Amino acid sequence: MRRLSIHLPTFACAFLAITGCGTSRMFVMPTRAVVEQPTPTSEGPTPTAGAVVSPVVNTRAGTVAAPATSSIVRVQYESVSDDACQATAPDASVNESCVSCQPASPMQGCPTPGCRGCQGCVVQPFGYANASPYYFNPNLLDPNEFICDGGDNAPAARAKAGDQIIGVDLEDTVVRYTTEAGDIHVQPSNKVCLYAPRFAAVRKVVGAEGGELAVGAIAMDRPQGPVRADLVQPGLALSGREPLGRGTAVRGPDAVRARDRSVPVELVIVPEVAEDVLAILGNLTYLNGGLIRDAEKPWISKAAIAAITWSIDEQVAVTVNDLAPATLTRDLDAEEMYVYDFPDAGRLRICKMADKSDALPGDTVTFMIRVDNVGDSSVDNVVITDNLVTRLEYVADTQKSSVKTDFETEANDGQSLRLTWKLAGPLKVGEGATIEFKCLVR
Amino acid sequence: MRFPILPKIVLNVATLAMIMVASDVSAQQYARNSNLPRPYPSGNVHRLIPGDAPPGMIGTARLQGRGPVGGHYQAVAFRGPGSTEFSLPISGVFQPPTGRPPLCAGLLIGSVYRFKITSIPGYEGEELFPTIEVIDRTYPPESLAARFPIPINLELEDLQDALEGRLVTRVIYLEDPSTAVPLAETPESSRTIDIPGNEDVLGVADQLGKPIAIVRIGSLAPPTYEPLLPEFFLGYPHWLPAAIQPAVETSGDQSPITPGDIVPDDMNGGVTHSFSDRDPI
Repeated sequence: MRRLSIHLPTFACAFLAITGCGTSRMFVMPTRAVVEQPTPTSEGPTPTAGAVVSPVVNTRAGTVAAPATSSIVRVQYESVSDDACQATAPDASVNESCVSCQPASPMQGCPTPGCRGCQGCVVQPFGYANASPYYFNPNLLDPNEFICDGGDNAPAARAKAGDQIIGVDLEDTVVRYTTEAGDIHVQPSNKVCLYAPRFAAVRKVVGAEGGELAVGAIAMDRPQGPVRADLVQPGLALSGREPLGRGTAVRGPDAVRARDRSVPVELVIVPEVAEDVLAILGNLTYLNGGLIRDAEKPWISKAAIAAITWSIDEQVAVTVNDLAPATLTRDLDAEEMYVYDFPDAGRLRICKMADKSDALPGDTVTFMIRVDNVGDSSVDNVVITDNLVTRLEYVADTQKSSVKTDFETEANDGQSLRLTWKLAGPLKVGEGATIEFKCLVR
Repeated sequence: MRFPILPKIVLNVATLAMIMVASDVSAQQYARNSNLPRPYPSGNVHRLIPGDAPPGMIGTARLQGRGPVGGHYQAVAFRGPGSTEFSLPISGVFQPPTGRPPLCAGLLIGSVYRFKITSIPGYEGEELFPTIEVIDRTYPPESLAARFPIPINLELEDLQDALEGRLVTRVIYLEDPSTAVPLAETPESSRTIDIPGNEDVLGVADQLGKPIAIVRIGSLAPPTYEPLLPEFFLGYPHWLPAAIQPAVETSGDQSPITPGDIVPDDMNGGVTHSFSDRDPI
């Protein structure tokens, strides 16, 4: 019979390794915390409506509103608050301060209801009566009973090279225009909400087979699945619900390979990477204990290159394949300075209105979008885009506008249509355009 | 250096105990430090309130939950196929059908109501006595509660299955607009999802939206033994008669115009108006 012998040092090391005692507590896997990405502005802490398209950080798909502990101040487009934009919403509190909130499903409860019930925090739903007792509807409103159209949900819409507008998700209504100075602005409209709840039913039929000892559900002679639906529905073994993928893809470093000179770029990747790396850089053992581990050398070298990049003043530079960027020096001679004097920029105000504040399924609602030039110079290349939600169906040939426009539609992800109007001419100061169209509430 | 000699069994047990404690400690550390969201449970899940609970259990649990639901009368509208008629009881006596569909009533949340179905197309003379349990409420804006009742649209298949001796359970839920089915509907139409008998009907409805009412169709006749009638009528809960409020008729020229603006000619049939603060809108 063999005796069991244990080598004490080995046993002690194994014990320490398993329990984590005596080692650094910085054992956390670098997780992608839900941190809100700030939107840098061109100048000043408060953005003016229609600010210059400046390098913006692409917000990650699926991010929710910033947690209460975040110290990052969210900077966003200033919403138009003119009196002319009084939307016929049943209660303005639905729209107020909820520009980029995700409406919470009633299945989810939040321990601290914020943002007037629009906070999209994820709470584990388990069982019907097991929701958090702290969650209730303080404003006596359920966002799921409303259909909203207008505004600009996250990620924010912005212009891209090639006359494109990206970030126009379902529900968004934006106008894009170009000022005399050549700046491209994207202005979202106000949000218009209709009270239009819709109901459906889940049915289960249970019976007993007579004459047998076993009692169970009898065979159904009807097809499983939603009946009288002309859509191919997935199977009924519902073990989880796939969320609709609506996030804007994040452009990785590959997106900047084509750029090899320091010019104003539309998407700045460096700050985004910095945000993610902080979680790792903050846990380096070099910082904790003064030791450099082999596994952390790549991160340190990356940070060193980044430090070189960041130390260049007044330049946006990009590293490609960890090569140090080239610096650009300029000599400006006072005699060679050219001053371009543009008039104050033109600015569009966009308002959206509906002729009803509530609608039953099957009703028709007329929407009106009105843009006015309230700036100091004319604007050109005005494009109005309205992305309809699933429950709004555009009624064909009902759109009309007060100026000449080029109207087109295309299918969107929500089985509805994205409507686009391109104004043929510029809008001078004080001029405006009005567009009307009808939608069927599904 | 050899470890001092100990009995083998004690040493093995001690090792196992230390490993178990260590793994538990590390799991707790991970749970504390992890920022990952907890996954939605799938499998091995026992719902606290299953859909097969007896009538009243789910409503009572809802009254103990969140929100201003106690004492609230939720508007409900009953519709059936063809000439089907509905009637609700008062103190155990079913009221005569109104003859004008739908039957609208305000029902208390958490209470279970027995109602009667007659004049079923193809089964005239047959009666059914289903129950309805309102387990949640809607939040309509002021004065719209009567215009947006919860639609209880029963289908002929439901009534036929019940007449053949089966139990039909329908859970009506408020649809989530972000995952809405892109089908045009009306308040009279009903979109139904059938599930097999081994699935939890309340759980499926909870995944698709907000369950708001449960209708159980199966009872064919009230009891003849009089002491059972209070149980049959589930305590004679109070309800309020209601009528669906029609939409407010709007005049043709309803484009919201702001004061001081000039309506473009194209929008107003060639007539130009100038509105001022004095003009009523």
